[in-house]
Amino acid sequence: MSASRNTTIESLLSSDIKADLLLLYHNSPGIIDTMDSVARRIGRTSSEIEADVKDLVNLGVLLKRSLGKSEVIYYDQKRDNEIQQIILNRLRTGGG
Amino acid sequence: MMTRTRTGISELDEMLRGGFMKGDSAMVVGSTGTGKTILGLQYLVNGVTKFGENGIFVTFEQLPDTIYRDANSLGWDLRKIEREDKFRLVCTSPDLLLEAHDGEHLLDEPIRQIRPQRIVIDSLSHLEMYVKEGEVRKEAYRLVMYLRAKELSSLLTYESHQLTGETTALTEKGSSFIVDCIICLRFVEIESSMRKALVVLKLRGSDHDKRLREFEITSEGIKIGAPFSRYEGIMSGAPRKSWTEETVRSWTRAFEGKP
Repeated sequence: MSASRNTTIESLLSSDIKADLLLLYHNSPGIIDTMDSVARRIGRTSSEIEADVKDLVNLGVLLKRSLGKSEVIYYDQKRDNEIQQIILNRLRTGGG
Repeated sequence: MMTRTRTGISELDEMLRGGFMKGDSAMVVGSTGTGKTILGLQYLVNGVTKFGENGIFVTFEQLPDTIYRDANSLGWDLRKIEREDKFRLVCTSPDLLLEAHDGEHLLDEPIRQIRPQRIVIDSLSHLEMYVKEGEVRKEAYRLVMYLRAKELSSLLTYESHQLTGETTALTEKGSSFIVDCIICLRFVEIESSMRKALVVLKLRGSDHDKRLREFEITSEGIKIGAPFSRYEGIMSGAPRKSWTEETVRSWTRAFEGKP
């Protein structure tokens, strides 16, 4: 496995909040909302999820765009299968 | 002749004399549990499966996974039609849908993606919570006009707080004036059981069935039955049997002491 792929996997699975966010967007891929509202949907505050959202945006899993004064976060639905596969493989190899 | 957007619920289309006017906005008003969301979903699913018209469902409160699940129990595979780019389920905050965005609207992207002809906003009452008193009607009007500009036949749900009983106004902020069609769903108590009634209150530019009809939520969605012909006062939530000619004759006979 390449070093960059390993980094992606480690990054995806590095915190509970990321896991919660991935599950939220996997189950409800049509969420287009502000950081604060997304946080509320997993029972957290925006400051709690900020760093994890940033990581997921850097990984290209979540997308961000400005909408007037607000910034919204949404899911790259095309990557959902790929992410599921990564997590599944990781669980199969006993790393999760 | 005006082009109609059929709901695909045959009895409702009959009541609407063929369906909603294409590109118009309809409002479904009812208290919690009356079936507003199901009616909205059925309108979109029928659009895709029966009429080849794509649709967007916008939800503010209910998470999409519960909508997928509930739709699945009615035999509607929303994930499948979403994968086929015929449907989008958008979950967002009401204020984001109302904000000015330098020419970019939150719904522009999903509209570009699937080129829908139908949209459901569930619900307008959530929008009202985010808008200053006195500006609700203006903001709701702006939203309706945006949907009209996109040539979408829209259906907006509105939750009334009153479960049964007399109502003085359909919506609290007077938003019902901005839509072209109003369908009212109500719980009614008949002979100690709760039943549901549907009535088309308004259909701008067209005749429509004015009778109240009973409806049920079945395993295949909403099924509309016959009009409530034997009762009156249905909209009050506590109907009573109508004084039919036969009833009047029976009472007259009883009072006159005739058998």
